[in-house]
Amino acid sequence: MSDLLIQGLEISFLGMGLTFAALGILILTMILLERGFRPKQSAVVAPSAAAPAAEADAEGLQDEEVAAAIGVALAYFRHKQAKGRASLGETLTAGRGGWWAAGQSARAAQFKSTSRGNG
Amino acid sequence: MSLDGNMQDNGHHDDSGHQELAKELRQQREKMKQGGGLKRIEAQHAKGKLTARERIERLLDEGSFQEIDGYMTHRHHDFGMDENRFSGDSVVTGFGKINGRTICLFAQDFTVLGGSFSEVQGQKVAKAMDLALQAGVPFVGLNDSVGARIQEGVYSLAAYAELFWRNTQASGVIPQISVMLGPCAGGSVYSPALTDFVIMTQGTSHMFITGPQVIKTVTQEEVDLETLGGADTHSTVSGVAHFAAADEEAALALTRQLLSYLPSNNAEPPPSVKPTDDPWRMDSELNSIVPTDPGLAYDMRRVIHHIFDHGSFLEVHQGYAQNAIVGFARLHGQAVGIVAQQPEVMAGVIDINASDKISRFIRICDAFNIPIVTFIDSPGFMPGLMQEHGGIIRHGAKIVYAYSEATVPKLAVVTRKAYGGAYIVMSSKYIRTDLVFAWPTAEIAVMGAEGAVNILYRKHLKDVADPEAEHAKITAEFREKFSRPYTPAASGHIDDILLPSETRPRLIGALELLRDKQVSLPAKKHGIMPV
Repeated sequence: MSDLLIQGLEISFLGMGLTFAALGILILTMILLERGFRPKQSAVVAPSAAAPAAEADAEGLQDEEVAAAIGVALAYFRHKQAKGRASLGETLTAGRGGWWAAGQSARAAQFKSTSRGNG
Repeated sequence: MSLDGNMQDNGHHDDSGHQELAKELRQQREKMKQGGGLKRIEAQHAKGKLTARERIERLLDEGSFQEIDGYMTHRHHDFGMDENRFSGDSVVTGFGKINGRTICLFAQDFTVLGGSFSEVQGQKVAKAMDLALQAGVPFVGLNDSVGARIQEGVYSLAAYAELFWRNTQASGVIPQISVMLGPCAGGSVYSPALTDFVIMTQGTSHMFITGPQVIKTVTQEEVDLETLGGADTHSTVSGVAHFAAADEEAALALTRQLLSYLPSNNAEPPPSVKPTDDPWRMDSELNSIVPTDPGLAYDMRRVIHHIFDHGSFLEVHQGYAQNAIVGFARLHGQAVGIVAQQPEVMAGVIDINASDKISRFIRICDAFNIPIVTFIDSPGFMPGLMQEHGGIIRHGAKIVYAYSEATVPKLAVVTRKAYGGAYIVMSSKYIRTDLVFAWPTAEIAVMGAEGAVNILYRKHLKDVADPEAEHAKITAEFREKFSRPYTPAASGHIDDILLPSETRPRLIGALELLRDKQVSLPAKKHGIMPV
């Protein structure tokens, strides 16, 4: 085995050792930090094991939350529906516009000139 | 103070001179109200008829009537006329309101000399008509008269002519409605005939040029009054009357309803009402009304009722030419005119009477800015010697003329058959219908598949071994190619194919687009309609 190969292997092992060591230190630091800053559990929280199953569904949602979710979904559906339908007929109830009035005037003017022409 | 002529004394003028004047005026008004006298009023009631003033009271909004020319009397002396003078003569004229909109009107007073048409009556009615035309308000005539006042001779006839001339001038400018509540004979029938709508009461009203006696003398035909010119005859056979009402109350209520669809004049849009029906309503029942078998009939009125605002359809000429349907309805509160075929009657074929009915209605809608919605299901024009000799060509041309001339928004829905001439004249795109829709059941072709195969393959069918099977096969192929809406839609002959239930929102959307539609026409005095 040549000296050059042995030197290369030494450098590789050293580099890898240093990397893994640094990673280990990082993991340890994270664990320590997580432990040091974990929020304290309230003494009163402990949920009663006897709570009726009906109060929470499989995903742990309360009735109020389910109702709220349905409400939001309905509101969204109605909004979507209204968005597509809101404008139908509104133009009609607003009455005739300026374009119609202009056309009426033009027709009246045309009629007058025709009448004069025939008169 | 009410507008019915009852002046209230506020007690501030104690001077006897003024009190005497007020008393005299009240007496005059009271006398005026009695018309031909209590005895004649009782006789009128005994016949089941109301007096002129009672009719006006029922027609107009309460307390809105203002009488004019109530003091006019005739100036004739011959044949004892100098002893027969009545305040206001034989007609009551004035103006008032219907559903808050002002109208002018006259009511012939049968209690005064049988409501006979006198020079004064003519002058009074003419003045009311002039006011209506100048003010741009509808004019309503309540007719109950024995005819021209013979004692006045040519003065009476001249007065008639003045009326006819005014009817013609006002035609297409202000709506004119004639309510027939008694006899109307001879020349006097032409005034109602010149108006836009004629409403007759069943059993009490009659219209004819010559009475049964004259007819018997001239043609030896024997006919009773009702068969000759009753409400049923004119609303089903002659088409002179657009509506037949059971009684006077119904006739007056119908007048009010009819006016709710018409503008006050041709420069205004028709009155609208607050929408009460969902514009997006899509009745799924519509999807199965039209049978897929083209040989089966269905009631087009069901289609109309499902599409338009609930309870808004007022059919015009209901009993006349029943193979066609015309009438007013509302879409999202807006008045529209409906023209349709009725496949239940004569398969919806177009004949002479249907042509007259349709073309006249289109012109009324166009004159008064009312959009037209057409439903097409017709196998074409009625074949036959009677029809050809009766001038079906000329009468059918009226439909094309009326549609082509109309500049209001025009929408069409082909529900099933639109064959040949029926497709062309009934609001096709090429006579400038704005939007033409078709239902999946629509068949737009030169003629029905079977007829077409009979003509095109006559020779071929003679040569094959099994002509019936061959005929059925070719007919199916022909129907697939030409009798479905996708081919005309592919070439733009129709604008869209709709599920029947989608028709209501689509029509409302189309009306929104065309709300202010304007079309310029070539300048002319008037066209020559093929009348």
